[in-house]
Order: sequence, then structure tokens, then C-alpha cells
Amino acid sequence: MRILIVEDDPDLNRQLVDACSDAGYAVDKALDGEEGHFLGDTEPYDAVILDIGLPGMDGITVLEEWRNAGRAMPVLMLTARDRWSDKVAGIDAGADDYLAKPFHIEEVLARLRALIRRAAGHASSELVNGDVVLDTRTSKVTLAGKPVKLTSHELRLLSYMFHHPGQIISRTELTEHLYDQDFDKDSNTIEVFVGRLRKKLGSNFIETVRGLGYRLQDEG
Amino acid sequence: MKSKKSLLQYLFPNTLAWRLFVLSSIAALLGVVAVAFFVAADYRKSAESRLEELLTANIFNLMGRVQTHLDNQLFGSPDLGDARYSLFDSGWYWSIDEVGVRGNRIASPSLSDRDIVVPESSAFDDTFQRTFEFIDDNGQVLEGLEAQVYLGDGDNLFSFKITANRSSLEKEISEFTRRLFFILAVFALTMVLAMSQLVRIGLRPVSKAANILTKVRNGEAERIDGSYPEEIQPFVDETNALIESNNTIIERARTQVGNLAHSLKTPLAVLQNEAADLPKARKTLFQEQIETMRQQVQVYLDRARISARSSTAISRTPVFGELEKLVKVISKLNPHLDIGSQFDALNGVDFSGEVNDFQEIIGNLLENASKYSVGEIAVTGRSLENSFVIEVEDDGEGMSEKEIEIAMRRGGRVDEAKTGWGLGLSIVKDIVGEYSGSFELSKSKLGGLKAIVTLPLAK
Repeated sequence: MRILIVEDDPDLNRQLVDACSDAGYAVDKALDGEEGHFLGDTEPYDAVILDIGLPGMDGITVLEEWRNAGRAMPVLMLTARDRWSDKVAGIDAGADDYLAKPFHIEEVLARLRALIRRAAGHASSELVNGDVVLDTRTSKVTLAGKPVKLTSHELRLLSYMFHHPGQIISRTELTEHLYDQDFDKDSNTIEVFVGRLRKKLGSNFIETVRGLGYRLQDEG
Repeated sequence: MKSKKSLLQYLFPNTLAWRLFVLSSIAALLGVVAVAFFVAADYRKSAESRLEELLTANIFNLMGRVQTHLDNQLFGSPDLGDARYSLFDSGWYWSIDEVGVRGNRIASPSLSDRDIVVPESSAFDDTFQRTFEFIDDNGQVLEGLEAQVYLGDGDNLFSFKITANRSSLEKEISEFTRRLFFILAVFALTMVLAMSQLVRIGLRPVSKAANILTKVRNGEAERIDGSYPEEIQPFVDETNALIESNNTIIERARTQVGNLAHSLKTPLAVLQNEAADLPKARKTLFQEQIETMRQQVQVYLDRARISARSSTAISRTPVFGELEKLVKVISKLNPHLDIGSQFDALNGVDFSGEVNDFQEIIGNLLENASKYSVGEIAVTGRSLENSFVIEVEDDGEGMSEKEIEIAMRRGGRVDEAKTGWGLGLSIVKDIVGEYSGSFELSKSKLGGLKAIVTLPLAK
């Protein structure tokens, strides 16, 4: 899962980036509206954390432009203003959720998880596929009830596939959603991760669709 | 500092109306007195000259009616056709004497054999006439005229004297003056009464402007509307400009307070997140301090919000549209909830208040319901004669009577664990109170809490 954080306060931005990275997301960051707008407009994010009060281009405008351009990724708005008129304006502009400052980082992570889950059409925070269960709150994976240890990249790949069960996902798509923009992208490493996941979760767990990509058996 | 009104201030209030009234009354009275003085003087002058003319006419009349015999003896019985010359002691006398000769004389019956004594001081003019003042035996002041002419063959000089009683003149003059003063007094009184009314009517635009200004201060009007006389219009315009600039200053100050409060929230968020990594004891301290700061920020934001309302004038908010918007927001934020809306009755109804406050009230109720609901929220509305009612219900656990009582207490928060829970209800209670509306909590048929808000309707 790859997310974008647009927040102009460098400290808060760093905290959000750290917390989201720790939670297993590939994270891109922007410190102003223009950069944020550009990234959100050109990169495929699974969710965006967007501050309303940004220098240059404000959050509402950024969001409106994304929505006008057909960008549908879930957006969690952060704002210092917690009046209902601000909330109405944010939701009107196309935000999916809204969080007033100051907040606990855990609250941001919980809202983010819920947004991503909701966008994928899941109601529960536990994603189940056959014997494999992914708890999005704790990022813990179990196989037939026994915990399985995964690296962060393996977890990201698994999480992305869990959120798109039954769909054929190309290597390029996986690369785009697994790494942040600064990462030296090499799609060959995807094969390595898929191989490791098959080893840990069963050889048939991820199916290779020749010439197209990978697919997770839809057994949810 | 308000000092007690002294008697002087009470009798002579420092008002524009009083000043105008007093000054114009004084001017009117002075005018009337001057008119009285001049008219009376003029009347006296013309009455005196009429008397003189009468004496002259009479003396010529006398001259035409007497003759002299060859021995210079006067004869004739002149009748001036005025009974006063026949009445003894009337003060209306005439006499004809040969100058220097005693006994050759004719006199009016009123005078009989007495003499009209002309003071030596009065001199003849070039027509041998002179006027004089004479006081008779009875002390009556008489106006006299003497003319000396030659009669007969022209060698004998005769003195014609005639007098008129001034008392009748004085009587006539005083009669006239009395009438004049009465008429002028009536006129002056009418003027003063008219003046008091004119001042009142003339200053009506001022009191009108003052009344509207009071309304502006009470928040019932935004500015002084309407057109005013040229003299007042500049004040009205300036006052309006002042009101506007005052509003701008307040607005700016409020925005700055808001900006300051809001700008503190990001650093607070940073500190709060950073504190999470501290050892437990210090973490608690940090978090307590951060929470205190957060509450202070909220207090000042709320104050700015409340002062915003009391300073701006009446506004109206279409209820239906705003409710729809808020329900839409809540359903977007909580896609798993089933929100039943039954507020068509509020279509066309306006809330007599600010849109922000309406959003704050209903938004908080909806948010509260969505936090506790397990699947269903109901929003219903109906309008009454002077108010409208909105009910927000949920199917959560609800609150016990005791919890409701705590929640309705000032600043009461039932569930400290859930941030903003009780705070939301307390905001609702405060804002509804500011509009003199009512806010009640009870048990919902859905199983959870039912919040009932009654707010004033804009006519």
C-alpha cells in the first residue's frame, strides 16, 4: 500500500511519515500544495493524508482538482479548523474522512486503514483469504491460526493483493504501490517477494497469470 | 461614571430640541416686544400729529368765524361742532383776545373767563404760530396752539388760542397699546407652542436615526438605513462607515484569534505525537499539559465564536438544505450507517440564526449519534408556530437518566474516554441556549439516545 502525506509542518510531516512507514506503508511526502497536487495527480496512491491549511495551493483546492481530474483515491483531511462549516467544505470538496488537530497518530492510522479497507469494499479490519488472515490494525498475518513473520515489503505486497482479491495485478502496478517514489524500482524484486510469500503461505496462494501478472485466489 | 441630574440640568436639559425651542422662543419674544414698542411709538406719534392737525383746523375755523366791528370789538359766536368746547372744565378750550387790550375777547363756554397761559419759553414760528403745553386749574395737561393774526383793517393784533385735552389722547393711546399687547401676547404664545411642535417635528429624523442606532447596538439592525435630511445625512453616513469599520476590526480581530488558536494546533499535534515515545511518567506530564493547552485553545475559539454572534445582526438559515448537507457529510463519513431522514416538513423553513451555529448544533448531534450507533440513525423534523424541532436518534446503547443529567449540566462530560463526546453535547447546549431554544435528551425508540432541539423560526 502506497500513500501520500501532504502536510506543510515539517515536524508533523516527519511524524506522519515515520508512523505510516512503521505501519507498513510505502510513503511519499509533500510539504506544500503544489507538490502534493502534482504527486497525487501523477502517482497511483492507495490513500492520501491531506492537510487543509497549506501554503500556496490550499488543501481544498488540491482535493477539488484531483476529483475533477477523476482521481478517486480515498483522502483523509487533516485540519486545525474543526467547525462544522469546515467539515462540510472538506467533504463537499471530496474528502472521505476528516480529522481535527491535534490528534493521536493512532487515530490517523486507524482512519487510514478504514479508508483503504472501505475503498476495497471490506467492512472488517481482518482480511481473510482461505487459511490466511491479515489483521490490518496490527499488520499481523496468520496461517491456519499460526503467526507468520513477514518483512515489510512482503507485508505490503500481501496487503495490496488482499485488498484486490481475484484481480490480476501487473508487476508494474505492484511496483507502483509497494515503493515510494524515491525507491530505485526494479520489478524483478517483485518476483523475489512473491517467491518468498509462496514459501511462507503455500505455493498456490499467489497464482501467476502468464504475461499479465499475479492474482490472489478469491476465497474471502 | 454616571452623576445624578441636578435641578438645573433637569429644568434645562442639554438637548438639541430644548436648545432650539428656547432660542427660537427667545428670538420670537424679543421680536414681539420690539414690534410692540415700535407700533406703540408710531401710534403715539400719529395720534399726536392728528391732534395737532385738529387744533390747526379748529384754529382756522375760529378765524373764519369771528369778525371785528369798526371799533375793533370782536363779535361772532364760533361753533366748532364739538360738544367738548361747550363743557366747562373739559380741557378743550379756545379764546380770542386782542393783544394788549383787556376785555376785547371771546372764549369757549368750557373756558369761560379764565385765561389760557402760554409759557414764555415757547416761540412763534414764521407763520406766527406756536404750540405749547398748558396745565389748567384742574391739573389737566393740555396741548395748545396759538396763532396771532391781524383782523379788521389790519392794525389790531389778535391772539387765537386753542387747547385739546391730552388725557383723551393718552386714554386712546393706552387703549390701543393694551389691545396691541394682548394681540401680540396671543401671537407670541401661539408662536412658542408652534415652535415646540416644529422643533419636535423638525428633529424627528434625528430621533429616528438614534432609534435605529440603538437597534444596531442591540444587534437588531446592521446599519442605519433610509435617507435623511442633508444636515443629518453626513452623520448617518459617518456612523454607518464607523459601524462598518468596527465590524471589520472585530472581524479581523476574531480572524486573528482564530488563526492564532488554529496555528497552535499543529505544534500541539507534533508535541502530542512526539511525547508518545517518552518514558511513561514524562509522557503523562506532556500529555496532560498538551491537553490543557488544547482546551485553552478551544475555549478561546468558542469565545470568538460567541462574540461573533452577539455583534452581528439577524440572519436566517434555510433549514432543509443545511440538514441535507449535514446528513450527506455524516453518511459519507459513516458509509456503514443507515440514516433515515424525515424532515420534509422543514422545507421552506428558515432558522432565525447563523448558518455556522446551525451546522454546529446539528453536526454535533449527528456526529454523536454516528459514534454510538450500531447501524441506524434517524433524523426527523417538524415546524411549529414560532419554532421548529429537529430530533436525532440512534440505535446505540443510549444513556441512563443519571448520565443524561450529568450531560445536561454545564460543561458536563459523561464519557471522558471518547474525545469530544460530551464536549459535543455541551457545545450544542450552549449554542441552543444562546438562541433561547431548548435542548433535551431522552430514550429513543431505536434503543439509543434521542436528542431533541427546538430553535426559533425566522418569519
